Amino acid sequence: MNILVCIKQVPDTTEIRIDPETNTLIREGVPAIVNTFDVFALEAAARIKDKNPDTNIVVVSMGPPNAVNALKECLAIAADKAYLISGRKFGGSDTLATSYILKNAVQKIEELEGYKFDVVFCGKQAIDGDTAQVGPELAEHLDYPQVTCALECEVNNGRLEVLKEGEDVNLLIGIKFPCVITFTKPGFDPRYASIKRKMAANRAEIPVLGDDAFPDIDTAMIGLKGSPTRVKKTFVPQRMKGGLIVDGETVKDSSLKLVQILSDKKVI
Amino acid sequence: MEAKTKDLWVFIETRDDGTARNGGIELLNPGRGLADKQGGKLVAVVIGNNVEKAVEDAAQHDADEILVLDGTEYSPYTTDAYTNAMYYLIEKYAPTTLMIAATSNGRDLGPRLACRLKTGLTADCTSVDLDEETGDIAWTRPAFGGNLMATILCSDTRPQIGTVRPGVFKKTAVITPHAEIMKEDFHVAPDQIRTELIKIIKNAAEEIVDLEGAEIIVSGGRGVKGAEGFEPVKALAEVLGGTVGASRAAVDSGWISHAHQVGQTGKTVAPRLYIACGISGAIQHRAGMSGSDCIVAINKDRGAPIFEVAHYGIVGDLFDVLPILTEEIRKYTDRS
Amino acid sequence: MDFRLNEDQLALQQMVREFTDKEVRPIAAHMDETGEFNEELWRMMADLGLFGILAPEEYGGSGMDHVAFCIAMEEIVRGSGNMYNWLVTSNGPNTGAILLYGTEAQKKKYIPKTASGEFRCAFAITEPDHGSDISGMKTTAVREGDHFVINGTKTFITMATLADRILTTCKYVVDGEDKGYVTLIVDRDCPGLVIGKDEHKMGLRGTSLNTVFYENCIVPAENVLGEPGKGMEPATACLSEVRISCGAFAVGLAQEAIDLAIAYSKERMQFGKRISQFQNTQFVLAECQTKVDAARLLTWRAAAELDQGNGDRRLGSMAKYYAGEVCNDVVRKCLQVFGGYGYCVEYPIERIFRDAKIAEIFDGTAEIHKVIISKSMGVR
Repeated sequence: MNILVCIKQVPDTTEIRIDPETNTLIREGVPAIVNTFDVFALEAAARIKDKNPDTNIVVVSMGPPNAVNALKECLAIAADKAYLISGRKFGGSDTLATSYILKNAVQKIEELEGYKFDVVFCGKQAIDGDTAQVGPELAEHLDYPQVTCALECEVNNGRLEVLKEGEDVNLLIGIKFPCVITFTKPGFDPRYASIKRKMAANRAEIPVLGDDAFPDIDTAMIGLKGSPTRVKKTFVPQRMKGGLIVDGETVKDSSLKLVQILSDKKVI
Repeated sequence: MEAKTKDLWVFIETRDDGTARNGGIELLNPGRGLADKQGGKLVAVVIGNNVEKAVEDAAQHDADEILVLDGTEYSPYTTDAYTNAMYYLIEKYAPTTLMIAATSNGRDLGPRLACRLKTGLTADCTSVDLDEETGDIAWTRPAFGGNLMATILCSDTRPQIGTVRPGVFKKTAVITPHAEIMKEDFHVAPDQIRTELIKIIKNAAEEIVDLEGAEIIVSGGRGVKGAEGFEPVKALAEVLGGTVGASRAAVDSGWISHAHQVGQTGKTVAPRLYIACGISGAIQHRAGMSGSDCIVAINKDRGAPIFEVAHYGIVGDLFDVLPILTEEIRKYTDRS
Repeated sequence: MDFRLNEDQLALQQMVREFTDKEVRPIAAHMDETGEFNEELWRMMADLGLFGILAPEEYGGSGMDHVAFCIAMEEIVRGSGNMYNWLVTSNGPNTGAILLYGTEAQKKKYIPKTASGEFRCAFAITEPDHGSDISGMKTTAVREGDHFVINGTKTFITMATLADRILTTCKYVVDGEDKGYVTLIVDRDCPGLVIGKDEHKMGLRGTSLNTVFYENCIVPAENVLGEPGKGMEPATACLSEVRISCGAFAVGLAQEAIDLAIAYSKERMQFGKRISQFQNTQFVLAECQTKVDAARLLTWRAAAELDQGNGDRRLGSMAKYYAGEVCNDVVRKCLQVFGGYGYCVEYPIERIFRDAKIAEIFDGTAEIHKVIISKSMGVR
């Protein structure tokens, strides 16, 4: 079985700070990591491989040249091979353009490798963009069925059985190959890279597919041109410079005051 | 495609029993104002099986027109059935705007549909306005785990689509219906639905905790120090009629199940009242609860970031504060 | 002479550091309190490859060198000192001695499963009456046909309760005559092997320390490691490696103590100032860090010499005794920075203090190492 896992290198948004003076994000010094949800997708692929050692896992990322670091981390964890999609013409792409480029990447990799992928796994969303759009849009471009918000999955009866996190219940869904699955946080922790794999991954040569690897791509559908959405502005959300600290001589006093405030505001 | 009308559509997601989920009905609220500004109708799109109740709900919340697709193939939700159906309707009527509640299904459907229509989608919005300059919808949404807000426009393609976080808008008051109801005729053949629902799992091991629907949430974090430490949190939640939530630290330490987790890798909530106990307020937690109407923080560390987002706070040990606060609230509710 | 860590070493350091922070630190106190063996942690460390750092790739290990091993060891003991025992029982003699003296069959049988964490191991040399004076050991192994019969007692054997096999060095007796020493691989299921009770110790309480009784313990002849009669060789070969690990253990504990003390001193206010602002605190911590850096470099140098084939016994001994001494000095001073809180179990420095003492004793006391060093200096 051949699995393609799409990953993104993102800043660790849990480490991002706001500069209190300029009210902008401080991006320097924020470590770059493999997008958290993509790690879950890779773990799902690795679990399939645990059960079926013949499984082949390829990771692909569309990003700047230094995204090879994220790809190497994935090789160290579980992937067998990696590709980087990086080209000037791809810059400025929104999710629609990105998913179109990725669709081309999927087909290009299949051509280079000489086989087709049975499944494409993605993280549910990237922790910087937070849109959760690329997975389903990629599925639509490929015309593959999809399941989003998957917790775990299993190959069974010649198809994939996916446990999906629904609104209030979990759903077990059967889906045929080929398909696209996006993953959310499962009940188990993803595996660590092993020392051996890490050392090998550091040495790995990762092929880069740039603008010239896609001669037939429709340039009207990539980059800024291919992006129907545009960012008009960004701003740091208003931080309340502290709300009211309810103070009292004793805990009982503060509690009483708080209850009073909340009842006045009709909160309770 | 070009828009044929200036109408604003709101997708009304239905449950298996034919009632409408709140998210869509809430969107008729901002939808009204925006439709008026755009100079078109407010259209509710109801898809499901035996959806009379949902249709009535939409009508009572000010829809001008309601498009109805009723069929067994629309329950339960499947990506293929709904994408095909919405695509058909949009091709037929070509509205200028479509709003979808950012529920689990909404976020499954939105991108698929936007891609098929080759149009722009802005996801998980927390506010929606008309952009004065362009006349387009200005969709505002959080990025970078909630650290940054971005306002997005979709100027060159139609419809402009956005998914909006449930709970951001409140439902308007119920009015006498005046909607024109149009029953549409579009069916999806079984072989066009490429996924199969094998079974529904009501998660026996982990309880189902309805955080997203809760009006009051009392959450515990690292400060509760252990599973037993959740007792005072639970007691306060109980006396308020609320639900117990937790930060990732508490869940990762095994003190409470993941079903209670609020935050970037847990649930996003917007209750009327959110009380954070012993929670430092790391960004990934704040991303999950900053939409709450009223936030109260109880933490013994005055410098904890949670106090920056809290409307009210008490600096103190939660084990001292919570029992007394619970008692005072009990007295208050007994009196009223 | 490039003192910087290379890319692989940095990657290893980072990996183990992250793992330690996420998985080891949170359970360290519990492990110390209960002595319970954490099966899940063992499994995670095995998957990471920590039990096969030194084993060659062909036997399922990562094939890294001793400097790499020291780096990994230093990082992981910062989470819990007990991890020293986990790493050294697998990577140490049970890999090293078997690699040097084992037959191909023995290597294939034992090394891959040790590296993968499937086997847990111990090594037994010390006896109740013979510690530093190990050459006087009394445990005997007598050859009888296709097996050996071992009689005697070994003490202070780390992790014997969990071990699937215990590498044991005994006096080699043939027809009643003393023919030197023999080292045997004693599998757990050998009849006559009795694991005694677990010692109540000052530190490293998360791993057991047992007395092991050999009561007509029968071991198949094919389990001899190296040549019968020359059994001291595999034993001493082990010790060179272990020595360097001890150095890394001591450096790791000491560094952790310093970092904890720095963090505490920046929070703690007395006399209207942070105690980090007092010159005494600054000077003490500066001295501590200097000593720890020196101990670290000496340890790495000894490790590098071992890698280059020159297992200079003197360097290993220097590294071990010096790091042990520095560790105890530094940990004591860092605990002092905590004042009364340093005496409380709630603060990890208390546990580090108890764990640190063994660094001056185990795997060769400081005194024995000074004997080795002075001998090699020709001071007689």
